[in-house]
Amino acid sequence: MRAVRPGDDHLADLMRAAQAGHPEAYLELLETITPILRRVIRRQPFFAGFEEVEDLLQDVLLSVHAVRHTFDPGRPFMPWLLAIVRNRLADAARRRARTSAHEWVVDDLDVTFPASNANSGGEGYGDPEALQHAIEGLPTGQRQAIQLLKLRQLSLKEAAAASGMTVGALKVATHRAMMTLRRLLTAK
Amino acid sequence: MARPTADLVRQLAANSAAVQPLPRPWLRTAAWLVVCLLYLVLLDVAWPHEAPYKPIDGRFVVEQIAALATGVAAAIAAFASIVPGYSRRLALASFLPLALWLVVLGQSCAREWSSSLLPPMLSHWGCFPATIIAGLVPAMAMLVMLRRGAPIAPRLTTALAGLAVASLANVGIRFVHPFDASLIVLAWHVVAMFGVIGLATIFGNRLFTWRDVTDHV
Repeated sequence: MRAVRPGDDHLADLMRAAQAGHPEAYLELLETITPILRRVIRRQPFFAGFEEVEDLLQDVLLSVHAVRHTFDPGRPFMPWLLAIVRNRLADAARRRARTSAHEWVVDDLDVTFPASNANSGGEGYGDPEALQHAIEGLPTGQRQAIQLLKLRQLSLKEAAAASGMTVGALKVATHRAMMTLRRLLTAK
Repeated sequence: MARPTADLVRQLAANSAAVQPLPRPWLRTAAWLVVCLLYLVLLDVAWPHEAPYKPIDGRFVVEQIAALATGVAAAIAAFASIVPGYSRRLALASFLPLALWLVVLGQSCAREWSSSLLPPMLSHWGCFPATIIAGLVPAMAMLVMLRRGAPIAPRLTTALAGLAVASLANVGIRFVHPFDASLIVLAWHVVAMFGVIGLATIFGNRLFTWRDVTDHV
């Protein structure tokens, strides 16, 4: 069934009631004009995405709300509404033009710099077995710190609660363990 | 998009207090004129008169009526420009009296230029700040009244407001002006007027912006 387009007189009546402080009339008015506004905005070539259309629609609705006292009860409603829509669309188009003027479209590059050090890819240590042995050879406190903080990824607070060590002692133990591991593994 | 549009609609409706519709542009112009005339009368009483008035002739009357008509037409157009739905062609209505005013001034200037009645220009530089002082209250009243509207054409609104204020200030200051010299009027008053219009047009976008109502919904 095709929807009947609301008449201007009916919309003007609703707006007059809204100005007099009747929320039901205002709700009906806003619910009636929302799909009309959405259609008008969708027709603009600039605003295609759903979120963009809804953002602009909400912008228009907020503007209508802010200046609803400027509606002259003796004049038609739609020219009043469409003048606001045109203004908000023009503002949005200007904002968009300003933003796009400062944006650069670039390819999704795989690397940041050509230097090999900058493109390590974040791989793990090459010899996990040697790393496991080195961790097992650490003093108890340092080993426990590495296992809790680095392998189980606990927070300092959680690791302190699990190990019974203070946060400061955990930090010191982790630092010493990392120094020892670096020394042991790079020496090989 | 912070929230679904349907939620926003419900919130707007729930927060819709009664509002007083703005009076029609011509009614608001009348209210503004009352404020301006009271101020200009006070200014006339307080202003030190350096010399007696020149006798009022027909040219002076036409010039003043044209300036007043320019101010009134520009004020109506300015108040209409903040109400969505009014045609912007209303702004054209102020062009006719403005043209008449400038033509009358121009004719008088040409006559004075060719005669020996030309008064010393720089000795009357005080006309410039006098026009600004005469326009202060009309400008502030106009600004306060216009900011209640919708900023759909801020540059046009400020240009028309500047024209209205400057025209009315000219009318007011011409009654306390010691000399009836059109060249001085043209040089100081009209230059001041277009200066005000130019500044108002440049800064119009900053004077009139959309109110943020998101805090109230």
